[in-house]
Order: sequence, then C-alpha cells, then structure tokens
Amino acid sequence: MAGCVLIGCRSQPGAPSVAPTDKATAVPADPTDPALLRALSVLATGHAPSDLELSQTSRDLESGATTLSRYIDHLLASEAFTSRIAPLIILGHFLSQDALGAGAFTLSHTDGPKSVYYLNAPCTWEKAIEVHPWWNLIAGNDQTVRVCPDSYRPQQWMVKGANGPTNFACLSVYVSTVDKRGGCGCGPNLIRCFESHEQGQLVGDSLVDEIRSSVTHNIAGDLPIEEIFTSNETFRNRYAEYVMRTYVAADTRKPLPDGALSDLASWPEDGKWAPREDLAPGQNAGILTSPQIVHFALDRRQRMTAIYDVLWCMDAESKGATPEAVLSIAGSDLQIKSAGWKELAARPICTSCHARLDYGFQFFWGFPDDNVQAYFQSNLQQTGRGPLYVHNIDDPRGEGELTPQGFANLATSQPEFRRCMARDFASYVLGNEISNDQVASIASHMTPNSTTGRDLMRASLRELVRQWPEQSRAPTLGTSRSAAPRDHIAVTGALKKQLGDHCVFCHDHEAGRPNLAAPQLTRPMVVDMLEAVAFGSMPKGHPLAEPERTQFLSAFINAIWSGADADAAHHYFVDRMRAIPSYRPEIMFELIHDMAHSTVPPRWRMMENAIRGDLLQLTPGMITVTGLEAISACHGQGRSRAEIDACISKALELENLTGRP
Amino acid sequence: MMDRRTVLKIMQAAAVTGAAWPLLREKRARAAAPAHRSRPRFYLQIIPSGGMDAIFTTDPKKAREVDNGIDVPFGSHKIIEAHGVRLGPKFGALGRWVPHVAMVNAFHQNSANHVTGVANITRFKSLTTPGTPSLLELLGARRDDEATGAINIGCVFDSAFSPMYLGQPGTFVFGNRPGLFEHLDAADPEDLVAVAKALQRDAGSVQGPRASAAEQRTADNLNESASLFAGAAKSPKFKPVEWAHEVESAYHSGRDLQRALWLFENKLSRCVTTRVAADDFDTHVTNSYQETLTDYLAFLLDKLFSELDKRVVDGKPLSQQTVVIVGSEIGRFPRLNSARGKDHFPQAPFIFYGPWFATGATYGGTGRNMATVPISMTTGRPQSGGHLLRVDDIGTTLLALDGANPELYGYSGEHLRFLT
Repeated sequence: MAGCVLIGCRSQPGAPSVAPTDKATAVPADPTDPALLRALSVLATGHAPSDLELSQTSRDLESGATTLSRYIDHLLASEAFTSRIAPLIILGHFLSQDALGAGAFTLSHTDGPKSVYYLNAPCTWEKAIEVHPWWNLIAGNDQTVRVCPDSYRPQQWMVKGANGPTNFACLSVYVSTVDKRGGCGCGPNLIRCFESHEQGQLVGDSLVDEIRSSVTHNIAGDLPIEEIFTSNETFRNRYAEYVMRTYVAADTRKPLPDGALSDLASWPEDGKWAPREDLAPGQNAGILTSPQIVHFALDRRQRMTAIYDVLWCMDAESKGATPEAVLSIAGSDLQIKSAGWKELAARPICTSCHARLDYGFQFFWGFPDDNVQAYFQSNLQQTGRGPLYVHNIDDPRGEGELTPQGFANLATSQPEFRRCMARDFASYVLGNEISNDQVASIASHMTPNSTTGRDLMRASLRELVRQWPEQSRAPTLGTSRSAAPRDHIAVTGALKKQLGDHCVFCHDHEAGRPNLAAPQLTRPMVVDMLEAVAFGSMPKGHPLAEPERTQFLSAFINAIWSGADADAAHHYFVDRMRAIPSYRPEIMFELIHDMAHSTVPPRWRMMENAIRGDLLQLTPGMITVTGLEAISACHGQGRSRAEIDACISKALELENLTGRP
Repeated sequence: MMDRRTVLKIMQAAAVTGAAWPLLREKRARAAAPAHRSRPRFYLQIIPSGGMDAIFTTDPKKAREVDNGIDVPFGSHKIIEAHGVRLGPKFGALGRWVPHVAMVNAFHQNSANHVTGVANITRFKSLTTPGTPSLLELLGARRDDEATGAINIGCVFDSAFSPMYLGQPGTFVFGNRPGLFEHLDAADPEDLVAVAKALQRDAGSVQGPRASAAEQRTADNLNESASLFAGAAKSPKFKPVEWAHEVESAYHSGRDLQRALWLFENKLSRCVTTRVAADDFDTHVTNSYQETLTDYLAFLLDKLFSELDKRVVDGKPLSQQTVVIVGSEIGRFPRLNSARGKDHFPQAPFIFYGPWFATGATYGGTGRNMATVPISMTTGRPQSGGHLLRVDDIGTTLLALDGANPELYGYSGEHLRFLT
C-alpha cells in the first residue's frame, strides 16, 4: 500500500494521466502524520480539517479503509478545489488585480425627484435627455433616467481634439487624459459609464469572475487544461456579457439594437457557460480574450506580457539594453506605432523578448493598444498565417492562423505551456523549496490535450508526500572552513572540476562571454559568477539544483574569503535570505477566519498575492499582513479583550501560515 | 493589557535577534569602515515612477549642444543655474538644496522595460532575479535598533518583490483597497501588542541550535514583524498634513513621503522605498506632462529636505542621519515619438542627498545624442576612456558607505569615490 501514496498510482480508473516521477522509490511518509494530512487538506481545499476529521482519517489510513492516494482524490473532488484553489493556482494575480481596460466614466447625479445624471457639471432637468441606461435594461426594467446632453453624446465614438478627430477612442485607457474637452460622453444607453463607483466595482469583479469561473468549469469537468485557453466559450454573468456587447457597439460605432441589452435580464444570475460571438474568425481564445486578460495592460507588448505570463510563466524580462543600441533602432517610435518591430525582434539582446512579444501580437492585431482603443476591431484582424517564437528569433515554433485562436492552439502545444502549468501547480504545493527537476518531471508526464488540472494537482500533492520525510530532516546551519583570501583565484582541483561540469561548455573563450576556462580568475569575475549561480541565472536555463549549487558556491567562497567574511558570503550566496515556504495569503486568511468564525473580508491591496508560489515564503511582509488580518478576524461577536488576545494567538499559530512540518 | 515595559521587551528581543545575525558575520568589514565618519542611519529611496526625463531635470541642455531631432523643449534662457549647477526649468524648487545634493547623470540601467528596471534599481544590480535581495534589504539587515530593515511603499511591479519584502503596493492595478498601512493605522494598540506576542512565540518555536538557515531566517522575519507591531503600538498615529501641490491629490506622493518620515522618527524602519507620481512619468503620449511632474517632484523634495532638517531622532536632525536617493527605473528616449511622447531609454540620472556625499555638483555626462559618456573615477567628469556608469556602482558605493564589504553581497560595481 505504501507505493500507492506515490505519484502516478491510479486510484480510480482512467483518472490521472500524469505518470510517476523517477523518485518514486523514496522512503514514504508516514501517511497518518497529522501535519501531513492537514497540509494536504489546506493546500487542496483551503480548509483545515477538524481534529475529529483528522483522527478519523488517521484511523482509516491505519486500518486500510483508505489510502493516502484516495484521501488526496477525496480532497480534489471537493467544490473548494475546483472553484477556489485551482483558479488561484492558474490565474494568480489576475484574480487580485484590476485590468486597466477601458477608462469608463462614473456619473454623478443631483438629488431629489428631478434627478439628473452628469459627468462634468449638472444641467437643468428640462435640458436633460431621457435615456434607457444599460443597467436598467439588463435588469429587465424600462425605467429611464435624465442625463445632461454633454454627458450623453450617443453618436460620439472617438475623442475630438482641437484640430478634429483623434486616434483615441472614447473607449480607451487614455480617454480621461486626452479628452480634455469632455467630448465623449457616455454614449448610447450610457454604455461607457457607470452609475456609481460601486457599480464599476461590480462590473470589474464580474470580469474577474469570468476567468475564475471559466477555470472552474474546466477543472470540474476534468477537461484538458489547454481548453482553458482555447475554447470559444467562457463562463460569464450578465455584467461580463454586457461588457462584451459594448465592445461590439464600439467596433461597429453603432448603438446596440433594441433588445440587445434587455435580453440579458433573463441571463442566469450566477452566470453561464456561453459562446462568444466572433466579430472576425478566430477572435476568441478561452480566457486569453477575456477582458480581464486581453485588456489587462496598456498596449500590445504589455498585453503579450500578460498572456505569456499566464500561458508560459514567462516574465517581461529585458536585460542587456544599452542607450546606443536603443538609439540606433530605425524609426525609434517603439510604443505607439510599434514601427520597426521586425528589426527589433531580430536584434541581438532585443530578440530575447521582442521575437516572442512582437510576433505574438500579430495574432492579436485586432486588439489595438488599450491606451488608444480598448476593444476588438474586426477590420484590423490579420489574415493568413504567421510564425511564433519563444526564446529569440532563432527559436521558431511553427505557424498558425493570425488570430487569437490560432495563437492559442500553437502556444498551448509548446513544451513551455506544459512546464508552466506544472510549475503553477507544483510551486503552489511545494513553495520556494521546489526544484526544477520536480517541475520538469511533472511536465514531462503530461499528455497534450488530455492532462487535466486535477491531474497536475494530484501529482503535486503526491510529490509533497514523497518529499515530506526530507522536509522533516532539514539541514542545520553549517560553518565554513576557509583558505586565505586572494585577489586572483587559480583554477585548479575542485574549482576546475566545478567549472568543467557546469560552465565551460558555454564559457570557453567564446566572444562576449567571461572566459571561465582561464587558469586564473579575477575576484570581480568570481563575485559575478557566484551571484549568477546563487540566484539561478546561470547556468543559463538550467540553474543548479541542491546540493550541487551549494557545493559549487562553497568551493569558490572558500577560495576567495576566509573567516567572518566567508561566513557572511555563505549567508548571502548560499542561504539567500530564504525563509520557509508559506501558504498563499488567500489560504492563510481563510484558515484564520475559519478559526475565528468570521467572514473573509474584501480583497487587500498587497504584493504577496501577486507573485508565483515558488517565491512565496514567510517574509516580514507576509507575516505582517497575516497579523493584521488576524486582528480583523478576531474582532466582533462581542469578544472580550482576553478572548480577542486568545483568538489572535490561536490565529497566528505557525500551522496557519505554513504547511511545512 | 500590555504595559509599556512588556512592549519594550518585545521590541528589544526582536531587535536583537533580527539584527544581530548579519552583523555578527561582518565584523571585519565593519572594522574597515572609515572611523572619522559615522555611517548613515536611515536610507530613503525615491522612485519617480515610469521614467523621469533627464532633459527636464538634471541634464538640461541648450539646443546647440545636441544633435538634430533631440528634444529640447525649452529655450536656453529657461535653464536654471543654481549654485553653479544646471537644473531643468521646472526643477527650480530644488535650487536652494543644490549645496546638499549631488546629481549624477546617465547610469546604464541594463534594461528599457519597467519591470526589469524596477528589479534593477531596487537591487542596484544590472543582473537580477526575483530571488535577489534588494539593496535596502541588505542595508536594513545591518540596522541598529530600528524595528524593521526595509519597507516598500507604492511599487506596483511584482519585480519589486524580494525575499524580505515588507510594504504595500500603489493602487495602480492593485485597486483602491486598504493595504498594510491602512490596516496598521486602524488597529488598536492592544491588538498590535497581542500580534507581536504571538509572532514572538512563533519565532521562538522555529529558532534554535538545530535550526536550518531557512528556519533561522523565518525566526528573524517573525521577530522583525513582531517588532513592527510592538513599535507601532507605542508610536503616535500617522497624521499626514496637506503638502499642497496641484497634483498631490492625484498621487498622494507627499503623504507617502510623510509616511517614510513617520517610520524613521519612530524607528520603525531603517530603509524606505517610495515612488512618486504613480507611474505617470511614463509619458509615451504628451511628454510635456513631464513639466508638471518635474515641478511636483521638486516640490516634494523641497518639502522633504525641509522636514529632514526639522525632525529630530535621538537628538540629531534626520538630515544628518539620512541618505536620500532619487532615480527612475528607466529614462526617456531623447527624441519625441509621433504622439509627442517619449518611449523608454535604458539610462537614468540619480540624485543623492546627505552629508556623506560630495554635494553641490553634477557628475556624469551625456553626449550630443544624450547617451552616457565615460567619466573619470577621480573627478566624476567626462573623460575619454573612462568609466561608464552603471546602477551596480550605486549599490557598491552605498554598501561601502555603510561600512559593508560589497563583494560579500555580490556587488562588483565601482565604488564612486568622487561622490563620497
């Protein structure tokens, strides 16, 4: 039975398509360890099991009535996993941050029976125009409101400048900056305006719900994970659907026909899985073309950064740019027109980002820069096929139809996609102690268009079970033995072997690179090398796993420093200020509020929920926001001072902050 | 209820366990620091976010001094000369502070993108990863009796997140929701003390002779946070006043700077990072808005430097104890684009304030195309075949100023001795 706690055990017919890792022969964890059972439950559902549940599960495991593998499957069958945890893992910061999207206006209104809506200044009731606002239509009522003429402007779609029309649409991020004459107004049915800030927030939350619920739909149905990014349909409530329809009006520059909003009154309150109208073939591609993602940023390049972030876990990293290189780019009009993009995409250094970004945004050309026009323009969408690149211009990955759908099909077939999905799930479970090998192992066993999110979570939890005994035996602090410090370091013996094993195949007299095959290295060169290896930027694309990394670093640290300096260097390069991994803040908050019998409050403004799992650790900030949330959770319900203190003390027990034993 | 003695006990214990760890390991480096001058006590990094335009601020040029097409949006008579230093037309409010600041033009940032730029100037390294500690975290770990090492106010790119991150982002994309400081301000002191006690208990359970490095670090972090809670409990509430400028209500950067001062005065943090103008220095459209923002930045620095003179910690004005560093994550391209805006440029100027610097001068230099030129490491002035400034030099210089050995933190930049 012990073998079945390991990755790849098929606990139910046809379930996981992720196979065992090579490490399946490790010593298994004690399956009845309460700390392990608790961590599995918290990670999979966001809830801690009660003492009663824990002891029952332990008994069942001891008696053979269940297995750890079946316990994991039981947790993954929960609604909490599909509706909360899986979206959190896949979508991360897209759930906690606001898309910039269109700069919709918020109306003001006068009070009293003859209330008038306006943007800049009120007008008399008599001068105001009677309009059916969108928010009444989608609620199924025919009530009208009065709006001042300059705040209405149903024929206005583009910003007027001092010298006539501009390229800026009334539905754009920069509208409030460039429409200084207030010429846009709210448009037909006031579709570009909100009645209040609260309504604006409701619409924003609906767009977040669209991507969250769409992921939930996929996970609950055990659908291939690729479909999150490729399906035409998404799960939308009526506000999200209203937003889609305003884009249609903006694209056609015509008011929506009668009934195009009022039919939303019958749209299910909680939303539904529904197709989206393609204004041009292939316009829609899963959540990638949901407003929360496609309109997340200001312009085409930033949009692609957001898309590659969720799809390939690729950051907007740009290193090596020099003033001279940027000055020499033809046209030098990089942001607004994106002119000269092919040249940029092929330039040394620039290519490592721009081949991916700029060839990528050709597929999304129907979505202009949001700062100029924040909606799909069907006439702009390109036709034909185009290439996709990953790391640079020398890394082509085939061709696809130049549409978002064509992009999504091509992008989800890449190994980077599978690795990203594996990394998202595995880093959520294993935190900052995850290794590249663990991610690679899970990714390598994914089957294209078959593996599901539940499979990935199952594999990740089983990996946690596998390494649980190792976590319990964390190494203690070591002290270094050092040689006398030197300004030049002779590369002999162990140092030569380290460089030979990990570096010289790329650093052996190659032009433009440090020569690490030389018989002597300078101190600055060694310092740079230590920095690069310590933080994983070298060996490029293949950071050293432990214990190889520590062995490499220690060898060179001891070669150039001694005594307290060597200890300090070890502390910086080897320990790297790493703390133990933490749960995601959303999970910690839920555990605390569960314990305090209170309700999880609205979203916080915090950095900690905007980063990936492999960076999450018990930082001072993570600890502080959790402490403040404990205060919030423990107040109310008529608690006395002593009860509040006891509640805070209980809420901040370490088991609510980390799953580490 | 906790009495004052209990609060102090928590703070003292936390400060010792939090700060002693790195200090113990650096005795040699500290001993090598110049004995005649004490190191700075506080560090404040100010990021004019989005990309401050050098031509409007520290590197104003006359039309005849630049190539055709380089944007010089003002007549030469508008350039301000203050104490022999050139300032942009809207940077006048900084004029009276020239004797107290050093301006250094044209550091290579190694990136023309905000995300990487923020990573690079929070670490002051050209090559960083998300796991690289920020420079202020390293300096913060060398604190004496301040509750925390480093606090970040307002940075919105996740590249500002680092292994010891503590702070709250701005509202851009994160939304106008309560963050760490709103919650901290609203909390009852008794609650803060209760949290401090719980965290200190947790720290005690993690640390010990058999603790791994990660466990020891976790204990330090728990103690650091406990110290912040305990310190906030006995500090006066934060009460910002209006720093009246036409755009302050849009950005609240004056409020954030007052927050930094509050943290220093109450010894709640050794280092603070704040940003100014919520990324609106990113003027891809209508670069002339830089004038408004430059005026705002100069106004804020004028107010800040005045406050540093007025506010006293342990018997000395903050101005004698504080380093201020001002600089953007990227610069602005020297030519206008078709939207009369300016795109990104991987080079930016920095301003240094504090008695440790050779102030009253501008160092560094740019050519007719506004690209950086090599400088003498002795004078800081342009010199053929000299050194090309890069952000790593700032990291190296500030660590050396603090008495640390920069090498031990992976810094291989040059110590800018002309600046210190």
